[in-house]
Amino acid sequence: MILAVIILVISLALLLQFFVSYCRLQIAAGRRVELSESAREATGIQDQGVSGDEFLRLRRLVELCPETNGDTYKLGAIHAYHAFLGVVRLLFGPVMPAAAAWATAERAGCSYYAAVALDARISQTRRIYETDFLSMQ
Amino acid sequence: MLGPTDYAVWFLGFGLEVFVVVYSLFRRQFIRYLTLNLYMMAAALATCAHFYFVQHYGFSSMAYRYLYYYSDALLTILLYFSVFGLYQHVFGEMRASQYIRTASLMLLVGTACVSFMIVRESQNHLTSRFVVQLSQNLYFVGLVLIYILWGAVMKLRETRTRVIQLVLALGIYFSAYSATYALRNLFPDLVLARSILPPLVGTWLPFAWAFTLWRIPEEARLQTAQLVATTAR
Repeated sequence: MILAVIILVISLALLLQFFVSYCRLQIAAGRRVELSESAREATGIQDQGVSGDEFLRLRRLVELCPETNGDTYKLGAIHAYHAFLGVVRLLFGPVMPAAAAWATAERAGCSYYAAVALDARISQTRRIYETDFLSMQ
Repeated sequence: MLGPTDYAVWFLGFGLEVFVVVYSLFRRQFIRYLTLNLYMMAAALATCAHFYFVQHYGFSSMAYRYLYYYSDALLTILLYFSVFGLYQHVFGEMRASQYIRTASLMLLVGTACVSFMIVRESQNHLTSRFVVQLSQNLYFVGLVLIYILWGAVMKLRETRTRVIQLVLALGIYFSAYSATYALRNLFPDLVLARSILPPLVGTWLPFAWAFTLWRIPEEARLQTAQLVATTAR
């Protein structure tokens, strides 16, 4: 009985850690990408300093463009991570300022990741338009 | 009684298992990911056997129940070899893989022995209790192994996106299954742990591996060093 409880607690904690690691790797990869001018114009982002609260607006913009390289699943995971960070900030913010600061920084990373995804989709849509649509005319 | 959703999840899982093997063969990556492909082949065969038993003996029959638990335990042991295969990928350039393999196999035998000792007292329900206990422990040991591997991935600054995603997918799979079996052990009649979670978690691994092999090119790289740096900050 006690063994099962211990296994349950550890398993859930590690499940959360693997999920967080996956999302943080994706965000770290996203941070290495420079946004194009068209993406900056579309999103209003000037540099990498984008607010975490912008994520939902950026996600809605991403959904307006056709999918690129199966990024919907990754965006779904980042969306869940963003929501999780919101809970962390809400729960631990008043008692652990460091945790709240970390969650805020990570949420900003989520927003930047969504902007990078939007950029990729805009580029892909433009490429399709130029190669397929214009060549048909 | 199985509904259309159960069959849909079942067939989806089977389709993804077959996809992983066929795609690896088609892209000539079968040998590179040999242990993963062998596991997927075995999982697909087990799914066929499950389907046959459900059709002939019924979903609630003891025959299906025993087949389910014992094939699950055997598949978990086979999955250990996939973990060893990933250890080989990560520690490929070092000479430590042989020691890790030996230690992991000893751990596997030790887990079986501990599980047997735990249920030795309940002799009347030895077989059914034993397999649930064994599965819970096997998944947990798998989780520990994959967590150590994940630590090595971070420590060694592994950059191959495919290897990273395969390890993370296994980590999520082992932790989710381990938690599910622990829940079943604690609450034997809980519908969530008995009927809802197992097929969903079971579909996760072939889905994640299929996605990784299909969408992530072999030469793709991720910077784990950057993640370590931001964590340390």
